Amino acid sequence: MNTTEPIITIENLRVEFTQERQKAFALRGIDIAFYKDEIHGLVGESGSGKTVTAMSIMGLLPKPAATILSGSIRYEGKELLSLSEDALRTYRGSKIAMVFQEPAKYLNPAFTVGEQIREMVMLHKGLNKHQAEMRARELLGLVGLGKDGRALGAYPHELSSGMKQRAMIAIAISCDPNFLIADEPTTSLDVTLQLQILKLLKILKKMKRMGMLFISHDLSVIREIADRVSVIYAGKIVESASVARLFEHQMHPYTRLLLLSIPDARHRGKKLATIAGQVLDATNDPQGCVFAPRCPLAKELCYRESPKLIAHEQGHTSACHFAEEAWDL
Amino acid sequence: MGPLIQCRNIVKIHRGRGIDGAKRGFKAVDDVSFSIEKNGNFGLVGESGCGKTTLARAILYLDPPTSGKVLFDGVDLGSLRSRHLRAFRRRMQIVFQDPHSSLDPRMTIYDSLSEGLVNIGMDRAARTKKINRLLDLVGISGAMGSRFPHEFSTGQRQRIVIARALTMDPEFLVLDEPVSNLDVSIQAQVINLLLDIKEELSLTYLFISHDINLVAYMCDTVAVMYKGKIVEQEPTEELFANPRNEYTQTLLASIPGGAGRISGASTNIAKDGTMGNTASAVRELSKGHVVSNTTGRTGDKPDLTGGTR
Repeated sequence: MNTTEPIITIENLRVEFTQERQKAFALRGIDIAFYKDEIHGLVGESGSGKTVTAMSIMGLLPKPAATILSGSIRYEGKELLSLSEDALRTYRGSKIAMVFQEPAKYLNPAFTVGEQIREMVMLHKGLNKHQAEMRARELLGLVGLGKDGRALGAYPHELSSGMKQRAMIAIAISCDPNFLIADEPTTSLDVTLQLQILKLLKILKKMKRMGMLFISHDLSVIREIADRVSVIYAGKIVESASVARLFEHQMHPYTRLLLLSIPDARHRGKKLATIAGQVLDATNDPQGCVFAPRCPLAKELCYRESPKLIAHEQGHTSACHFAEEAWDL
Repeated sequence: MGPLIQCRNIVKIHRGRGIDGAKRGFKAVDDVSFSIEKNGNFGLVGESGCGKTTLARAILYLDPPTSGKVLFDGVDLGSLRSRHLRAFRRRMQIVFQDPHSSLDPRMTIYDSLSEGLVNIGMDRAARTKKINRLLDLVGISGAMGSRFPHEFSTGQRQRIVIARALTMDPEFLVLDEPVSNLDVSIQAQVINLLLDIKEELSLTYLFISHDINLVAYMCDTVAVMYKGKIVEQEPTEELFANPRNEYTQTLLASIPGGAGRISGASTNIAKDGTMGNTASAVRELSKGHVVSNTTGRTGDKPDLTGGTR
């Protein structure tokens, strides 16, 4: 277990979106801590608040649609939420960086990859043009695009999607961030490329001793890459544990059902476990547990009282009234 | 039972509109042959852009193949006049990946489902009865028929699209990535539904996906497609236990955290994502076990079976 101070701590973060006078509760009070040298996987379905969490850390929530109702995000003890836009800019990119799901959308089509890396290091690290050029070369080598320096002068459209994602990663790590957020970085890639990118991220983490938040909807990808996993459902962390522990023993019925619903060739012909019903509508604000309407174990207590995220043995936390009980689904 | 679908040497060339493209064209499907047994569940797996969807559309004669034959229940679809082909269309249907774009946003669910039935001249009472039964089958209340697509979630919409594909009582259903757009928890619901109705209506499936894990779970035969060719085709267990083709091995090794992980097998695909040259011809090693020629030569292949599963 990690005993050092976390790089980033999020406490009781509540984010609300307002659209056409409708309120949507994107995050309903999130507690999470990220440590150095650890890949923290955040897994959840679409609309569960994964990206909102990432955007909150980056200070990139759309304004004025999003409002942070309460909570704090601290980077090495410093509160990020109260920082001005200018002050935040010194963190963004240089200390905390992000890799997005669709590299094609986030690379500037009008500039070469080399120019986009140089821009970063000249701005944040104050390198001159020549140094920046050297740095760009080095970074592209690091992410496996470097052999002949061809990628340096290439425009994004000249690269395949796997190469684009590598270029994105090169830009993200260009200023040696302490913390990297990877938001579904492999979702738009084919399986074979996915594996390469996962390997690359793992190697980079080790090399740079970064903390990393890895967001995915795919539990099997998380299992491949993460050291610790948090499961998010309808804007709440419902369970968090080390990868080994979580896949062996689940303390929240949602996690268990999620695992059981992954198709596996070995169980062909058998029925998949399903989670009945729909994901909780974000405009709802139930009094009780957010998962209760879909939970096969839900009792009267679950509808009445919202369970808190409680720590159990081995750093395993779960937000379920019946986490300690043995249940079978 | 004989085969319901037989594909013989299907080639599909896309002619480009450009000056250059017009000359050469692009071979999206390259000499593909296979057959699907009645009541079979045939899986087609491959990376994006390898020609899976093009092949499916060619089989259904939505985009007729450039050359090659498709035999449906022994009848060559290419030999049919369009009027007769239309009669065959009733017997084969397709479910697309994106349920948002395959339902008309201005039509109620009831109207969407009744369109085909109106065409065959079914009266209103019979239509309503049938539609209610189908909606019920896919787990949507018949009373919701008067609603519009936007009132449903993605998972529900995919169920509606499945129900619509069933209105003509088809025998053959092409499922083109039917669950790729769905969340994991919803995905499981739709997969279970597909397996249930297959049983109930004794359907034949062509299941297309990029997710080899899912295909292996669903299907009894799996064909691996790569750059327009089928590089390996085998019963599922065999494919997982003993993949012969280099590309299949790569694919299996790439399943994240997966069950079918082959220890020690590394990805052979070049770093920039371009694929190496694989097989040109395909040959049959044993019955039902087809393998591409460049690999699978007996003797020169390392034994990978020990690491599987």
